[in-house]
This record gives sequence, structure tokens and C-alpha cells, in this order.
Amino acid sequence: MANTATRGQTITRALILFNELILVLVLVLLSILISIGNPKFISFANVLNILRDSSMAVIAGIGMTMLLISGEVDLSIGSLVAFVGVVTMDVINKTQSTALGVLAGLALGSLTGLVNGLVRTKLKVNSLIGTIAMMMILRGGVYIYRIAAVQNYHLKRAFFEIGNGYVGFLPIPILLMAILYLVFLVVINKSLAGRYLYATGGNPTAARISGINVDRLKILTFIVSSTLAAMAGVILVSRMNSGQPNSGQGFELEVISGVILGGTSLSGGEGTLIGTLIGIIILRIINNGIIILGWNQDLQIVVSGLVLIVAVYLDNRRKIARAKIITT
Amino acid sequence: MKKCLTILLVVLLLVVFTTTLAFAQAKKPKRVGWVGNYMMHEWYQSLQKGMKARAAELGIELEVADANLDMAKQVAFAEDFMAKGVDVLIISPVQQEGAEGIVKRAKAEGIPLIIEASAVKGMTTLVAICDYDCGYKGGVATGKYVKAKLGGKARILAVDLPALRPCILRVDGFYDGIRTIIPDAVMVHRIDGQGLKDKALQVATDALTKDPNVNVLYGCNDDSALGALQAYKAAGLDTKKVAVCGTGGEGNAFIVAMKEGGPYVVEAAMFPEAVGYECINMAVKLFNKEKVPEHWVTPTLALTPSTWNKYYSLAGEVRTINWKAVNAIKRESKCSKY
Amino acid sequence: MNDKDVILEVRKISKEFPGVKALNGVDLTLRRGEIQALVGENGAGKSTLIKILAGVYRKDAGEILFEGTPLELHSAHDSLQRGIKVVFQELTLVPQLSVAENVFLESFPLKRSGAIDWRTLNRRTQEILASISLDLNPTRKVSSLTISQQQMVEIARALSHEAKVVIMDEPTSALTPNEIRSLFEVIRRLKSLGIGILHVTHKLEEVFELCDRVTVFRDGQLVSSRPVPETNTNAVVTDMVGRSITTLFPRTHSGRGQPVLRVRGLATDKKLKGVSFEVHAGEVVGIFGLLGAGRTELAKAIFGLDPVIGGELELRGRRLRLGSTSHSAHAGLGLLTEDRKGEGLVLQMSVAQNMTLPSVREFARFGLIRSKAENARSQEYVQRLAIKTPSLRHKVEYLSGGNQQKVLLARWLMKKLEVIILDEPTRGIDVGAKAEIHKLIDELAMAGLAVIVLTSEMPELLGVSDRILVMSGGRITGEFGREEATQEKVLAAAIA
Repeated sequence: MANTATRGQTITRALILFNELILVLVLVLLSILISIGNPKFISFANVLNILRDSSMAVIAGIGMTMLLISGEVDLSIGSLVAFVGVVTMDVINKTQSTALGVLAGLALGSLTGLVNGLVRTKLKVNSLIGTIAMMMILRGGVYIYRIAAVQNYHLKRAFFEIGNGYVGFLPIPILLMAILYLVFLVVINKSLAGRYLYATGGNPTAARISGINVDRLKILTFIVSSTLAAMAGVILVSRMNSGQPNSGQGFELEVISGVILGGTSLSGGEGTLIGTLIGIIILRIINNGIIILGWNQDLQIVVSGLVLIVAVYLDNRRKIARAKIITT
Repeated sequence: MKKCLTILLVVLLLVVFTTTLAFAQAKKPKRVGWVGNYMMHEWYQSLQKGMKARAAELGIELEVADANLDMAKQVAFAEDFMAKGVDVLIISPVQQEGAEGIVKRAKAEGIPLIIEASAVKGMTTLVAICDYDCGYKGGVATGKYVKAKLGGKARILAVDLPALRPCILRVDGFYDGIRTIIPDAVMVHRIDGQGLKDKALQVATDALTKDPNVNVLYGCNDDSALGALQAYKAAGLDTKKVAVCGTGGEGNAFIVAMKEGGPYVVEAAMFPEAVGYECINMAVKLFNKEKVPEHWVTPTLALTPSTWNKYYSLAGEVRTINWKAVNAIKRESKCSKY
Repeated sequence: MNDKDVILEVRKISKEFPGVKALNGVDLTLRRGEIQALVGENGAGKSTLIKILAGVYRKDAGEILFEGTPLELHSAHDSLQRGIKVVFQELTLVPQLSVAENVFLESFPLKRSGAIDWRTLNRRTQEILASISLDLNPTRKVSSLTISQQQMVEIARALSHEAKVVIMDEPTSALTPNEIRSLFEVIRRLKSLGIGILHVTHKLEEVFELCDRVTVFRDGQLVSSRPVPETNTNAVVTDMVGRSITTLFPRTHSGRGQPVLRVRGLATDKKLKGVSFEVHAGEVVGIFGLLGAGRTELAKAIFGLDPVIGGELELRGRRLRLGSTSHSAHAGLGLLTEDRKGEGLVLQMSVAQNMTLPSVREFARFGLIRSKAENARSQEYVQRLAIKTPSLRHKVEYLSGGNQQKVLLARWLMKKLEVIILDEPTRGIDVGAKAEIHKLIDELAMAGLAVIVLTSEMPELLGVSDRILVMSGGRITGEFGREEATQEKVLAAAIA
């Protein structure tokens, strides 16, 4: 009798210490519930659909996670996605080269990141305000650049493939997401840069005293993050087949909600990519599930909000239990 | 015989001359002010083109202000114009209730006021399309296409924008219209795409996963229809087995789509340029204190790949409207549904 | 033992956390008007007992008798209501509210209408402050007060609840000698009001200056409880540690080598007014100063954390760029900050990660960190410094204060430094660990580093330093060699 009790205790203990426990539970529970309502949810086609649609948010989420870990944030990615889409399509139209168009789009992202980084480190403007300003500048700017959407006059195959192509059975956006995810997983967890990110966000003074060039690190993180968001923009313009100045609205909130649901802290020093991945997918599953179940679409936001609150609450309880286990 | 013909010709010429002269002699307002709702939108860009063209034609000075979705700004601009002394005021209301104040002020100042797009209580006249009838025409044309080319059964995916009543009317109209040709047409999905192409793509993808068995895609605006089409293509479904109908024709997107020769076969066009054109015409009428109906309907028509170029021509990225053809379109005297 | 005088009695109290017995059958008695010192190493059980008395933890076994009747505490509010007030190191005042509002935080005097009776509030606060000879305006915002004054307000809060027992948890860590004197007077006032006081401290000189009785904890048990006149420091330390500690300040290093760091005319726009001095290799320079003298500002200015408006630094003859932490760090400077949680440790990171932070590049190949090497090196230091942690991966925020400090020291030991600046290295640390840290300071000097120790503890200053510099008002006002330095000379320079 005593033995099974301790085994149960050990399992509970291990579960409580598993940081992504609540997220995985929520994911599995939601999936099961929706599948009961409509088994189409769990079909191969729908799973691919969910992953492909999440790929843009996840790719941008990788960058956002790194930024939040370092203690910063970027609210301009929605407007950036629109601008990148318009520029990419326009450049391909004019140069008949997909590569040039994609490079132009990514370059726009990197440039935006550089400016965001400089505004934060040199002008010492808080990144929340700074990137909101950038969001407005980019959104206004894209309409000045092009008031109407940029249609596809080039019909390049390579361009089509980015968002709509497959490698075997795997859609290319999912492949891109997987590659970038794995690369940055190594960067965040195993590289010097990753270690410095956590230190900078966790305690900037301690990081400075340890010789970390905090300003340079932050600028670099902004650049990488915006470039990743630009990548998401390239995937989007390929899937939409036109550069829409009015696209990407609410994208930054979608990404940030997923990242925070995944356990990354708004105050810096904490966050994981796996949490971000699961968080974004949970939110996507909710939106997808509501349509698959044929419910009123207005519920999408309501359910997402409820899940966010419940998940964070449960995770807080788990953290308290975890602290009790660890401090003794 | 020749003499009769010559006399006839002279009389004809005289009639034409006097009527044009009469029209030209009709009093024209010197200045017209327009406070627009949201100039960044393609619809209003095109509308503005039409308005400016007609004003230039008639030698009327046109001033344009953009409220940019801000009701308070709109009131301020309207009052500015009235103070400056415009002869006629046109507004595209940001909010129908909020604009009632402007209506009262204009009446008090004795300045004729034209409302564009959505009705305001107490207004003199509204220049706008009939959303329901526009959708209806699109539905009828789509129905005919489906009957002829797609086997006669219609299963519809409609991308709506339930937050705006005009959009709901368009989708309702479309559905009623298509059922006059195909009575057992089924609305399989009616989803909210927020009028945006990327959102429409997202929700249509989900809907098609739930049930991919559709052969008609309808959008309450062109972006919605095109987003749904992208989703359809991405789902690997056969584009030869689907018909796409968009609404509005505010930009070049639909022309490009039709030129491609793909499934985009009907455009329930709303001719924004014509709306602007008619606003100026209405300004002249009001200035001359003519009696006008409460709702002056502007033309809508279902365009197809073989007919769109009668009304529009596209050179590079600039499109030009064919005024003669558009002005000749028969308009409803009032809408079937509001 | 006069039963009527006993105000608080604790019998056979036990508390266990998974894997650790924090308190093992502890008996404690506190009388009215008695100041009883609670001493013991970190983890000995004092804070656990206090938290139980504060209502923060629930005891597993045993009973608490308050004025003879058994007491069951369910919450911190409970405990305060019953008359037990704990003044923790982390003060619980609301900075934006006034002194009076804080003193009566849980029990505002109300008018019949339900509105707050401000006049009574301020008057009664004034009365309480007067009873402990505290001259403060009750309407002042707490955020404008010094730490020492804030502490007094916490004590006043105890009086507003008519506390019969006041427990002070290491109250003097952040205070100047003058403030400590004022605090002791207040505590003596409380004693004269018949309140029983438990005074938890690491500073044994306080025990002998202030307290009537000293109770020693070790490993969750009460080892001894004797009247102060009947015991001495050695006896107490022996009880605390379980072995006798012969020297508190071991010195094996031989002293000066070449000058390593030259500071000339360093000035900031806030406090420093032009500081110049030298430190040699293998030398320990102790810098003393009262609160506001500018010690920490000096450390931060040297390190480049704060902007400098004048002066220059030379490291081994080469000019050092001012105002750049990365330059200072790469040149071989290290800084153990005064605020170890706020500026030193990355709390969410592990023991190993915190230790290796400045040196982590050494363990990296192609930009990727090799964990095995990192952990091996970290383990070395964990053992060398006897850091108590369940594992290298343990998050540093869960370690006790003393062990956290050791992690920070290990950090700087691990890196090859030229100059190390230690700002209050033994603050809040128990005797056993203090001795170890002093030994490490000695080792650092042995290894040829130039060591600068900023401290406000006189015994430590006089014990570890080869040379003493005294600061006051942003300037150096005195310099003494080890042999000639006395407490009086140092204090005289500090108030100059």
C-alpha cells in the first residue's frame, strides 16, 4: 500500500515539475472535445491546415519569444507583414525575380528591426511605445507606397510554391516553420547568444557586469525578430496571391497572445519555444474548431479569452506547487 | 426628299443644341464640399476619381476632406465647409446617428446636403447603390453560369461581414438571386471574413476542411471572394469545378482575376466612380431646388469576363471607366430591401 | 520561572517540508519585557519558527501558548490580531501612503458615516510615534522616508495593534550605526512597555549589546538558551556551528605587489566629488563610509555602470574607458553588487548558469555551450565554497541568502580577474558562512588580485583590510594602514 502511494506521489511530482504540463493538457483536451463534435477536426487534411496556418504566427513567434526573453516587445509586426507583402509582390512584378522580391521583403524586415533596436537602445524609448509608433508609421507608409493592393502580374512558379507548395505531403510553410524552429531551439537553449538573452532579460545589470554588451544584443534580437516576421509576411503574400496593404491586422496580438499563453513572461528572463509553439497552436485550434463545429464565429474571441485565463490560472497553481517541492 | 432630311437634321440639331444649352444654362453650384469617410480605401479612391471628373467637366470647384473614420472630425470638417460657404455639401457618414447633427445644421443654414453610402435620419437625399439588388444580380448571373457550365446544382460558400448591414444585404441578395435560377441552391458555409483578404483566406480554409463540397464562392467584397478562392486552390480542389462571384469592383483585382480566365466569372459591380459622378449631378439638381427622391440609386451590374471591358479599361495599373456605358445602365428607382 | 511573566510559549513545535525537517520539537519561552536574541546559521530553523508565529506557515505538531491559552493561527492577519507582530526584512508598507495610513493599515478609525476619521488617525499615530520617541510627521509619504525610518513605522504598526510580542527579523542589515542606535532605543522602549521581543540577528555584537537572553538554533533544534550575562561570543558561536571557530579573519596573503588599479579624480554628477586612490596586486583595501558617503556609487562608477563626468582610471598602466561595462568587464574587473538579487543574480537561471555568466565563453565552441564542461567547472566551485544546493540546475532564487552570495563569489573566482570589488560581501549571512567568505577574500588576495571590500561592519573592516580608506560626502577623508587603524579613527573620518 505504501509503495503505490509513493509511486503516485512521484508521478504527480514529475508532472508538476513538467513546465509545459498545463499547455499540453489544454491542447489534448481541446482536441479531444472538438473531435467528438466533428471527427473531421482530427483528419490529416485539417491537421495540416492548422499547422500551415499557424506557421506564420509560429515563425514570427520565435522572434517575439526571443525579444520578450530579453525584456523587449514588438508591436509593429502586423503592419510589417502588410508592407513586406506589398513590397515583395511589387519587386517581383518589376524584376521578374522571386528571389529578389523575397530578399527585398526580408531586407525591409531587417531594416525595421534595426530601427526598432536603435530607438530602444540609443534613444532609450521603451519598446512598447517605440514599436507602436513603428506600427503606425509602417501602416501609414504602406498606404502611401501603394493605396491599392498589388496584384500578381508575374505568375512566377517559385513565388507560388513558397506558400502553397509541397515537399512530398508536407506543405512548404510547415517545413519552413520546422526548420526555423529547430535552428532557433538550438540557439536559444545551447548557444552563447541564448544564454545572454536570458541574462539580459532576467537581470540587465547583472548581465552588464558580466561583460555582456546588452545594447548590441538587443539590437541584434530586434533585427532577427523582424526578419522572422518578414518571413511570415512572405509566406502570407504567397498564399494570398496579392500584396494587401490592409493585411496583417491583429497579427501582433495573435502572436503575443500565443507566446504569453506559452509561458513567456512579459517582464523578461523567461520563455521557451516549445511553450510558444503549443500556445499559438492552441489559439489556432480554437478558431479552427469553432468553424469546424459550425458555431457562431463571434465565439472565437470569447473562447480564446476564456482559455487564456484558465490556462494561466492553472499554470500559476502549478508554479506554486512546484515552488513548494523545490524549496525543500 | 433631301430637303425634308435637311430640315429634320436642322430641327434635330436645334433640339440638341437647345437642350445642351439649357442644361449648360442651368444654374450650377460654384463650390461643392465633400467630407469623405475613409479615403485610404480603394472604393473611395475610385469614387473620388469619378466625383472629380464630373466636377471638372461641369466647371465646379470641388473640395475634399477626409474624416478618416473619426465622427468628430467629420462634424468639424462639415462645419468648416459650411462656414467657408460651399453651395452644396456632400458627406459619407462615419456613423449614421452621429451624422444627424450635420443634417440639422445644413438644414438650418439652408445648405443642400447629399448623403453618400448610408441613410441618415432627416436627410434630403441619399446617393448610393442598392446593396441587396446588387447581390441579387450577382446571384442571378452566377446561377446562370452554374446551370450552363457546372451541372446545375449550386453549393455556396459565402464570405460575409456581419458587422456591416450593407454586406449582409449583398449576401442575402446573392442567395435570393441564385435561387431564382437554381431553386435548390444550398448555402453550405456563411462565414465572417471581416472584409479582409487574409482573414477570408483563413476562415475559408477552415470551412473547406469541414466541408469541401462547394462549387460557388461568393464574397461580399472582392477581397473576400479572392481570399476564398485562394483557400479553395490551396485545398487542392479543382478550379474548373467552381464559380467565383465578387462584389464591388472597387479596384483592379477583379479585372486581373477575370483576365486570367479562371473561375472568377461574375463581378457584382458597384461602380464607385459612378457614385461620385451622380453625387455631382445631384448637387446640381439640389442647387436648382429640384425635387429629388429620397434615395437616388446609382448603377450596379453583374459583369462577366466577356462584358467587363465594355465598362472599364485597364492600362498597366490604371483603370478608366467608360462613362457612356455606365451611365446607360438602368437603375432601380428604389431598393427591394433595406 | 514566573508563569505570569511568560507571554509566549512554544512547545514541541515541529515543521517538515518534503525531504527536510525544518523544526524538530522546539521549546521556546518568551517573557514580558524580555529581549531574546535568536541566532543560528541559515537553515537552522529560526525563520521557519518565525513564519509559524507570523501565521505564514502552519505547524505540523506542537502547540503555541499565548498568555497561557493555546493559540491556533490560520493566517498572517490572525497572528497580528492576536498581538504578534513580525517585522520582516522585506517591509510590508505601502510606499505611496502616509505614515499614519500605514500604521493603521488594517484598522482605520472610522467616523459614524463610515468615512475615515483623519484627525483621529493622525493623532493616534502621533501618540504611538511619541511613545517610541520617533519624531516623524504622520502625514509624510512612506516612500520619502529612509529604510531606517520605514522600519520604525513598521514597529509603530505593531503598537497600533497593541502587539504583545514583536519579532524583529535581522533589522539592522541596512542601517547605519546611528540608525542602529536609534532602533535599539526603540526596542528598549518596547521592552519598557512590557512587550516581549524576539530579535533575530547574525551580528553577535548586537546580541551582547541589546539582548537579555540568547537562544541558539542548530539543524532545526534549540541547542541552548542562556541569559546574556552568563555567556560569551565563543560559547554562542560554538553552539551555533557545533565546532569552535578560532579565527574569524584568516590572513595568509602577504600584501602588496605592483599597483594594479589607479583611480584619479573620479567624479559623477550625483555623489562622487573626485576620488583618487590606488590598489595593489595581492592587497585587500577596505572602504568604509556611512550611508550616503558614496561607496556603492564609487564601485558602480569604476565599473562603468553609472555615467562619469570626470576623472580617469588606469588598469596596469593602461587607460580604461569610463562608462562602459563591457570594457571594464573585459579588462578584468569584477563587481559583487550590494543588492545581490536586484543586480547580481539572474534569479530565474540556475546555480551553474549564474556562476559561469561572465566566463561562459570559455565553455563554448562554435558559439554553442558545452554543458559538461560548464557543469564540471561549476561543481568544482560548489564543492570548494561548500554551496548548499540540491543540484547545479536548481534555480538560484530558491537558495538561502548566504548560498546565493557564495554563488556570486564563485562567479568572480571562476573568472580570471585583475581587480575585484566586493560591496557588502557578508551582509545578511550567518557566522559560519561569513568566516568562509573571509577566507575566500584572503585566497583572492593570495592569487594576486587587487581586492576592494566595501563594508559597513567595523569588525569586518578592521579584520580583513590591509589598508583602510574612509569615504564621506563623495570624497576620501581618511586612509589608515592595518596596524594604525582603530574604530574611533575610522568613525571620525567617516563623519568628517
